[in-house]
Amino acid sequence: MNFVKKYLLPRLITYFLVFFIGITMVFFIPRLLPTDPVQRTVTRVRAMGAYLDPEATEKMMESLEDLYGLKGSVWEQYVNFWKRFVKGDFGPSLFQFPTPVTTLIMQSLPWTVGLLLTTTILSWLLGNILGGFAGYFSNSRGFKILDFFSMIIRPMPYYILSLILLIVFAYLIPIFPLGGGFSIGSEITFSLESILTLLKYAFLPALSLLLIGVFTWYQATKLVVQSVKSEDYVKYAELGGVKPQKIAMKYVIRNAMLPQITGLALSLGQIFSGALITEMVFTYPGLGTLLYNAIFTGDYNLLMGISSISIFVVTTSILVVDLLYPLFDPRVRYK
Amino acid sequence: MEVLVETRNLKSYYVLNVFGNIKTVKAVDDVNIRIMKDEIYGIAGESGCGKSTLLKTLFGDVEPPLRVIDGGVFYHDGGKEHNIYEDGGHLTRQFRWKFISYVPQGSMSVLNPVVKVKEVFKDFLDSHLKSESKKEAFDIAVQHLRELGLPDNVLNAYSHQLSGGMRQRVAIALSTVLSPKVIIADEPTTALDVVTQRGVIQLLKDIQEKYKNTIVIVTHDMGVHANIATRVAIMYAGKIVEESSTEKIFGEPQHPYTRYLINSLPSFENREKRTSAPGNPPSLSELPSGCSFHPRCPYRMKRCESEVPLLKDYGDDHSVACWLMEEK
Amino acid sequence: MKTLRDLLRDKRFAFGFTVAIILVILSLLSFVSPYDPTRWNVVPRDLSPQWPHILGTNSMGQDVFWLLCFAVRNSLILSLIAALMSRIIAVIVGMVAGYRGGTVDRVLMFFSDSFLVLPLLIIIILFASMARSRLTLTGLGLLLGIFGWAWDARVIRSQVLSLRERDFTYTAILSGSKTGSIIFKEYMPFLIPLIFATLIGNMSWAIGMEVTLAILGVFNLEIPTLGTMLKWATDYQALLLGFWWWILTPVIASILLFISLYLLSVSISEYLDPRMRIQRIGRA
Repeated sequence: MNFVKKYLLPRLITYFLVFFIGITMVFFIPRLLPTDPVQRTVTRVRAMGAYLDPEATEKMMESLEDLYGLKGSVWEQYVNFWKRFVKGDFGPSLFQFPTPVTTLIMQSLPWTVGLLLTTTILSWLLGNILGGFAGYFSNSRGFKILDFFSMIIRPMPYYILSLILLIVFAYLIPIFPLGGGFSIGSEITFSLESILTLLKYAFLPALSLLLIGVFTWYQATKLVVQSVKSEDYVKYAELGGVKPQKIAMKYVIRNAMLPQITGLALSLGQIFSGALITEMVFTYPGLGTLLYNAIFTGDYNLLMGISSISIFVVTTSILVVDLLYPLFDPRVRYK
Repeated sequence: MEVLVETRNLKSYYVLNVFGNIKTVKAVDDVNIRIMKDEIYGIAGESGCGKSTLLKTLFGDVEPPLRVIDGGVFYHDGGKEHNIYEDGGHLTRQFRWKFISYVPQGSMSVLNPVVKVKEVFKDFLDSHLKSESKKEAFDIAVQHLRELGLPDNVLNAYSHQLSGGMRQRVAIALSTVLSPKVIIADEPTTALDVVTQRGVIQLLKDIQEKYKNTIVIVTHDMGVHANIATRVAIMYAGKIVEESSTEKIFGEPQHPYTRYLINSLPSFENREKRTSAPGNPPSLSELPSGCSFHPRCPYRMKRCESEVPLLKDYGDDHSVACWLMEEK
Repeated sequence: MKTLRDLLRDKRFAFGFTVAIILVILSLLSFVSPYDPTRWNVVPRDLSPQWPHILGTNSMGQDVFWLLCFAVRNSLILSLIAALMSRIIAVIVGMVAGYRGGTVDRVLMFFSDSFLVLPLLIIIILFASMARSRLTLTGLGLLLGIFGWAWDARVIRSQVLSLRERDFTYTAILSGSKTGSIIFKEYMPFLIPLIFATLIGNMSWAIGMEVTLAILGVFNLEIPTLGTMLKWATDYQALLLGFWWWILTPVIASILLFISLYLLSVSISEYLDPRMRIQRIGRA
């Protein structure tokens, strides 16, 4: 019970509050800026050559206002927004009228989640273990090479690394497809061939995320290991003659992992953004490409929808990671 | 009497490179001691005299900036002599914990915080024994804990759930699991309350009586030495200045420093004001010439300022490093 | 100066520093550029690297080399504005939270964590796409600055926390110094190196964001920056048409910029870390 009170409750409250603030920000930002999406749409329609008499224009503006959720006072809009959000209604998309935004998002979400989940977990685990061993056995030559690579790859923004991978492996040496998530026209089944195709398309974007992820965690863990190495319990185990590999795994990495779990929670926002950018480069059919199209076409509803869902996904994942922490640190589990 | 651990002309210094200037801290400066079987050997001295470094060197825990400059540490195991710093190498794992084990100072955080205590025991055992004997050894360890008065559930607890005294006792128990011939205890009673101190000292005494092994205790607390040590060595500025049986050290101290040390202890009979040696101990990187104690010594002679007195046995197993003894 | 020499001994710092100097020289060169970067067709199009166009020209008739100088300059200025802005916010938040503690601390850290947690890219995209054409260099810089302070605020806060517990703070309070002067006179010397190290990291982040936003087309494409150069090049299919110099120049320049900033910030923070200092002393 104590655990629930001291650990669980504060986090749940924070989660809801942050989620609330985030969605509110998404709501307010477009309304703070001087551009009026209704006006813009009308202008665009006119620019395309359609003629509308004043009455038709007014009717159009009214329905647009409704669709965009801009009817009524700000407070009414805000309440409306939440009402619709809970129902999962973000209105119709503009560039794929009249498909509801929610449908579009639901189509893209599984791709993004699949990519993110696998690469994040894999890179975190791999990075931690590599970093742990590298930090502990700091004199081995193999690790110096890894260090060199990490120094080059780690500061790369997601975009540039993806671009380079695309150029090298899909263009110069065409092993992998230039983009997309699946071969056009075929259906996704559980057959081996189908799965292999899936993997082929997902390989480069996953590689890009993996590389940056692994080296980020590698560096971070190495740093933590520097201080864990000199902890009393490590020295004691060394003095006791415990085998070095065992010390590395059980004493060093198990302890160095703990701040990395918190670190994971804090970086999920960044990792998510990075995944979106990577998807855009490879036109992988996830939220990233959807977002790109939304920006390109000025699809207001879609933008709002993607932003809201993103905030939801990220804050929830952070909560999950936060709740996993006690599993690894008994000091939090038993007071 | 059988020698177990021996140092010959041991010099281990800290060599520091502070922005281009090389500074040498002579923590252990030409030390020769012999630790025998079935005794409790105490090493006493003020903070900063080098006793912890001596312990580290005895145990093989030497890492830059600490280096063994000269001399050696010898373990006598199974009739053979091993110089543990041969080829500049380190103490091989085969000796650790099986021949000689270690109880660290302040065992507050020596147990891995994320695993149960029994895992630490298992790790220590696993790394030294073959698989057949592992299970047996673990059961013996459980036995140990019971005999030492620790409840069984300690093994299933996490380190942070135990009190300070408990942890110290677990550390002591851990040091005995492989039945080593020598156990080194570094300030085992510091940072504990008086009641727990008593318990720890009693525990060490019991272990020694039961297993007839050797315990080396390093502490500045003379009371502890008086309580359990059979022989005591007094250390000052990196050197051993006097070494003898406990009774003789307390009853007939010969070296002026030892005299000050003993005289500064409170006593029931004598209600006079206590005095201690005037001045301060020297910095180990800037030692005085000749005998390191001469600036503070009330009996200093001309000789003391230039010649370093050697530790000599003046009969009856009582060694002193002082030119005064030569005069007698 | 002795610090500089000490730092230069670290090969990473030396490399990063050299590259940084080169890039700064490039950006200064932009002031003597013979071409106006916003005008097209001032030179023959699509020429491969040859004298006097040492990095070739692009499909819009601009000299790639001089364009690069402007791009580097603008990207650096942008990131400096963003980093300075976020420094100011981070320092204020970090100091107040660290010094006051209690509820003030918790509220401020809650805000800071919210900024960290939310996918900033989304929010910044939302902002920038709404303000699209009006976004100037300074505007974007300030925008990035307003969103990029969260991480460093925490770092500064923990430093202030540890400083507060030190003896000299109590001495200062007891001798009657006011809060403001304590913070500025006593703590600043400790904080300045920290601020400096995080400044560089923040600049790197800002440029990364700028590149991303430009690629997405959310930024004013008239202004030459590394991001907009990349965007034009990809839009005009530079790679497919074989005009490798057009796209490789900003790519390589960006890579060099990021690596050097990263190396600088890592070597400076390692230099400042007292634990590493001790290790350096022991390495006789």
